[in-house]
Amino acid sequence: MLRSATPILLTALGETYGESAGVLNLGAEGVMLIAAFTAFVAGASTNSLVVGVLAGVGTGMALGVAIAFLVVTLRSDQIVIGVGLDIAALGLTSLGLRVIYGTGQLPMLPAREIIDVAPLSSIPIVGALFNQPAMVYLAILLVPVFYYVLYRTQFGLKLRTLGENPMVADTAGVNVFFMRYIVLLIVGAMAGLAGTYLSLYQVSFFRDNMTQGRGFIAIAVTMFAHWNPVNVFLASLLYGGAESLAGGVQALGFLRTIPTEVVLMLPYIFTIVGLVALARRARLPPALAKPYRREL
Amino acid sequence: MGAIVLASIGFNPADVYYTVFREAWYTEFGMRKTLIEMIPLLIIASGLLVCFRAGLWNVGVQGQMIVGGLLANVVGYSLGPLPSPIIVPLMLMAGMIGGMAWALPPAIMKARWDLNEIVTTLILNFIAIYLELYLVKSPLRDPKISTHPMTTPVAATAELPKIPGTQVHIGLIFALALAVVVYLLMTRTTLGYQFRVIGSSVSAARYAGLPISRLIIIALLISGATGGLAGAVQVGGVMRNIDPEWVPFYGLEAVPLPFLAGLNALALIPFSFLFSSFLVGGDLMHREIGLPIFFIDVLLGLMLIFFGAAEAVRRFQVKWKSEKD
Repeated sequence: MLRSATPILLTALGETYGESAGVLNLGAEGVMLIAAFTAFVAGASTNSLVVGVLAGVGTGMALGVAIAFLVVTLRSDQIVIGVGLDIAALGLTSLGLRVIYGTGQLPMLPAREIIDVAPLSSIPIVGALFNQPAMVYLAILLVPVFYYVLYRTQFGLKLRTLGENPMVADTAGVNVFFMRYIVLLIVGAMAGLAGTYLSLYQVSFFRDNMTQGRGFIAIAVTMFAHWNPVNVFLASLLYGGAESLAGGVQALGFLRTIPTEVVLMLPYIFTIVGLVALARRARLPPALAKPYRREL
Repeated sequence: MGAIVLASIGFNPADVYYTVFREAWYTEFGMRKTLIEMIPLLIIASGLLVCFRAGLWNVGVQGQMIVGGLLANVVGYSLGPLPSPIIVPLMLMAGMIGGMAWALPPAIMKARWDLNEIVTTLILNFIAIYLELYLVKSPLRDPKISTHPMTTPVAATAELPKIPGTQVHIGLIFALALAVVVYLLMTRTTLGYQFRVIGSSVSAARYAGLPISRLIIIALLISGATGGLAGAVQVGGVMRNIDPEWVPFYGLEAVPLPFLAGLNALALIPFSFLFSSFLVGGDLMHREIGLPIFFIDVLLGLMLIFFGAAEAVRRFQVKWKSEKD
C-alpha cells in the first residue's frame, strides 16, 4: 500500500506547491515519464542507484525550469505546454529506449536496498510498514516538511499569496517571477523523484508509458486533498490501497471470479469517486493557471 | 527542433522528411492510407475544436472512441440482416451514443462541481481500456475465432461503402462535411457564439446570463459524440471487429490540430491531411530505414509546446507595438 502510494504522494506534494502558487503543471505525467527513463538509463549504465536517483531528480528540475521559462517568462498557456510535454514525453522515452537498447533485453539494475527497521518490522501485520525501500521513508518524511513550510513559514505564506492574488504579493515586495521559478523547480524535482521511484524502486525496469496516468491521478489527489500536504498523504494512501487491493485480489483464490480487468480499474474508479466526494466543494486558488503580468 | 532530435539519434533530417512524404504521397497505396487515416483525425479534431473554443479540454477521446467503437461493433453484427442504408446510420449513431455516454460523467462533474475535466477525461481513458479488455475477452468474444480473443465482425451490410472510383470509404465525406458543419456552427449560430464567450471569459458569460452549465455539457457531449463516431467509422470502415489491444492514439494525437488550425474548422482539413501524411509516411518509413514510429509523438508534442510559446511571443509583440504607437 505504501509502495503504490509513494509515486502519487511525491508528485502530489510538488503539485500542491505549484497549484498553491497558481501554476497548474499538467506536464507532471511527462516529467515523471522522462525522469523514470533517465533514471533508468543512468542507473543501469553506471550500475548505481545513487546516480540513477540524481539523474532522475536532475531531469525533473531541468524540466521544471524549462516549464517555468515557458509559462512564467513567456506566459505561454500552461495547459497547452503541459499537454504538449505529456505527448512529447511519451514519444521521447519510447524512442530513446529503442535507440539506446534496440529491441533486445534491457540491462539489469542494481538491487534496491530495503531498509529494515528492526525490531519493528517483526511485528505482525504492521511490521510490513517498517520494511520498505528508502524512498518510501523519504516520501513520508517530506509530508510534515511540506506542511510546515507551506503553513508556518514566510516562504509558504508568500507562495500561497501567489495563488490567491499575485498582484498583492508583488505590491508587498515578493518577486512573483522568481518565486514561481523556485516553485516549478520544486514541482519538477518531486515529479522527477516520483518517476525515479517508479523505474528504479517499484519495478527495476523501464516500459513504454509506464506512468500509466499517475501524473494525472496525482493532480486529482491534490484537488481532493484541498492543497493540504497532510490530506495529500491520506489521499495517496487511499489510492495506494486501491492499487494494492487490485494486486491482492488476484492473489486471493476465492475472489478469482471477479475479472482481472475490473479489479485493475479500481484505482481509477477510486480517483473519480474521490474527486466527486471530496473535491466538489474545493475552492481553487483564484490565480491558478493564469500567467502574471505586471502592468495590469 | 524535430530535426535536432533526429540528427542527435543519427538520422539525416532531410532524408527522413523526404522519405515520409514520398511514402505518404507518391504511391497509390500511401495516398489511400493517408486519406483513410485522415478520417478519424478530422472527425475528432472537429469535435475538439468546439470544446477548445469553449475553453474545455477533452483529453478523453481515446476512451470515447473505444466505447463508441464497441457499441457500434455490437450494433453492426447484431442487426446484420438489415439492409445497408439502415444499418450503417444506426451503427454510426450507436458510436456517437457510446462516445457521449463516456463524455457525460466528466461533463456533469465539470458543470456541477467545477472538477477539472482534463483530469477526469484522462482517467476515464484507462477505465475504458480495461472495460474493452474485459468485454472483448469474455462477453463480446467471437466463439468462432479461437486463436485470439476478438469481437464478432460487423455484418457485410454494415461495412461502410467505398467512395465510387476509389478505395477510400465514405467516412471521408462524413469527416469533411462535419468540419464544414462545425465551421458554420462556430461562426454562424448563437450556440457557437455562446461557446466562444464562455471560452474567453466565464465571468463575462455569467454576467451576460448565459446558461454556463448547459453549454459546458453540450460542448463536451459534442466532442464525445465525435470521438464515438470516429470509433464507429474505424470499426465499420477499417477494422470490422475489435481486438482487445486496440488502443487508438488518435485521441491524443488530434489535440494539437485545432490549435495549429488557429481554431478554424475549415483549416482542420489541410492540417489533418498533413498530420495523417506524417503518421502514414512515418509508419511506412519505419519499415524502410528503421526509425521508430515514436518519433511522431515527439514531433506532435513539440509542435504543441512551440505553438504555445509562439502564441505567447506574438502577444508580446502586439503589446510592444501598441505601446510604441
